[in-house]
Amino acid sequence: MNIKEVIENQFKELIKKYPSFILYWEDDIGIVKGELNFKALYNGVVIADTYTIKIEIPSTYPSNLPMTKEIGGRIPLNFHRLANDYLCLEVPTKMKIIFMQNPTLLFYVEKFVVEYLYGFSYKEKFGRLPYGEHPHGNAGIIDFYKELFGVTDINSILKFLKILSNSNYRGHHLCPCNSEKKLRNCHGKTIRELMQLDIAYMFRFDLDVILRSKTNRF
Amino acid sequence: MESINKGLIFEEIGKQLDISPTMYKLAVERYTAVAEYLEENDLKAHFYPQGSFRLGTVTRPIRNGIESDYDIDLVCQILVDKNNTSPSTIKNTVGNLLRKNKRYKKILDEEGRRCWTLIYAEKDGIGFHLDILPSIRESIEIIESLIKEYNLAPRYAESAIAITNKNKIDNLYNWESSNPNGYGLWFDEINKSFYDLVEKSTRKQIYENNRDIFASIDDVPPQLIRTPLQRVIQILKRHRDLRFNGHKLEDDKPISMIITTLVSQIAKNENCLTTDIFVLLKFIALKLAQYAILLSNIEISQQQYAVIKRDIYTGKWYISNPVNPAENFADRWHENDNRKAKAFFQWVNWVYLDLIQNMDKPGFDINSLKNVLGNNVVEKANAKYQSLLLQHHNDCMQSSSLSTVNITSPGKPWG
Repeated sequence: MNIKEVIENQFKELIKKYPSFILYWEDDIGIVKGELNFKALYNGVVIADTYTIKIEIPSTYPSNLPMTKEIGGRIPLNFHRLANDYLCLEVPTKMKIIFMQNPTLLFYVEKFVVEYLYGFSYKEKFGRLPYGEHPHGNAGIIDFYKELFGVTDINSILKFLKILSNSNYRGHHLCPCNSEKKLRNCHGKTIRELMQLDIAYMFRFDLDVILRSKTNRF
Repeated sequence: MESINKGLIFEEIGKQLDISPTMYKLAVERYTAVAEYLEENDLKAHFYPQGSFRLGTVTRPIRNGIESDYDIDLVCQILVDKNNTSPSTIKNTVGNLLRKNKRYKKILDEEGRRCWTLIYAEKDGIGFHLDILPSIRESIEIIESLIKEYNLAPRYAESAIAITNKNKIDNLYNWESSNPNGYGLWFDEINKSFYDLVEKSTRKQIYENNRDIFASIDDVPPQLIRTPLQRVIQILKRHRDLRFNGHKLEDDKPISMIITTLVSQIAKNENCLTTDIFVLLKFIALKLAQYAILLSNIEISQQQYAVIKRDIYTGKWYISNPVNPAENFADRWHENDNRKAKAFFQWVNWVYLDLIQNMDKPGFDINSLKNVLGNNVVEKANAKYQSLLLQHHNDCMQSSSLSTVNITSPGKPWG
């Protein structure tokens, strides 16, 4: 099956639940556009809302994730958006890790887009975000790795990222988290699982970003 | 605020414009009877529907502002070689046989330019105009030239036919070329991806609403299943009929063949897919509007896949027949200071204002569609829509019946 057929089939699954979308193509990029009419529940609060969105699916999908814009003019520029107008749904590496569990359009829409839009609707209603937000830029990326590895020390994060970006796992080495344990007896499982995702290039990218911000700061 | 399901309203409006399953069955019975009668009288021919009845885009016509009889076009393709006959023989063989029959003689209209028309007045006030088109298979030379000179796919070219044309001035007959079956095949190929999307659910719905006519779900003929593409064409045709009714440009309004061809060609070029009629209509209307620039700027660079083209030097317009590239549906658009082209783009603008902008604005009132799609039709469609809302809260209707997304371990927006 070529990628267009994959996208078409995933689109068919999507419109069973969200019927007001259209799929078309701009060169090789699949465009899914229309009204996302959702109802979502978090911590006992149900929100139903409608947004007009445009999802762009690259020809390298599902290795590369779709990008989404809100085109109904509801979300202001100062909310989480990239310069080119795409919604910042999550830290890219985190998104990728989650997405690979279930790489379908329906999952993408419900896991990332609905969650993001629920957050925005919630903020409109109650004046604050329901589940916090990552800081913009590098701090957000560091934030994510702090959560992922359960550490607070930035040097630990850098060491983990070096292992991941070089696919250089040594179980008998000391774990970078300062636990004094061997890696295999500490964060070994997490690291091995992340290595299996085959996204060393993303870890390397994040490592570079963090290193660059460090040198800038000092 | 309850959000209005515009796609569903259009589905209901489409159903009102369409021929009902009962009328469809009756129409098939009527033309089958004519075909059988002609065959019994030693006419060796193939009979098959063409036009909107064949394409599934039947739209209740408006004549002088009033809803009137359905037009059904039937091809009568006589099995004789083009070298061994003449257009007058073909046309009059059919005409004479019809006149020979008492019943048909009574309902036979005056001879048309290409057809014989039988006018059936049915008991509940909605009748048919059955246009019978005498024809023969096109000559091998012409079929081969379509393939070789015009690059037409053989699967289309092979079904080309020769039809007869009676000249108004000298009453002489000549041959013209046509290809209703090829066009039908071209349309089916584009319609297929939409058909596959909606076939199962639509078939079930038609069966459930017409248990008196169909013995089982499989009994529902595919010809009754309407896709979003067919619905868009029906709605556009009706909107055109009403918008131009009594207007100074009425005689220049876009013909159905142009609407059907452009909508299908856009769907084909963009390879688009959706189950939502409103979404598809909007997508196509915006694409059509992009061509309005050709009115003021001939020299604009035109892409290879443009569905409407204009010659930089002569200013002539081109919308080619997909199964007969030599035929230009827009061959008269440049006349009288581009009057037909202006009428077309005026209509495209009306479509945008009446159907897209109007329906997209908050507080859209369904009744506002009455002027542009018909009082009766919108009234009935709205009643159906309201009762659907009340009856089943099925998942394609409302956010209140949408299944809920449970947010656990939410992510955090970033960047």
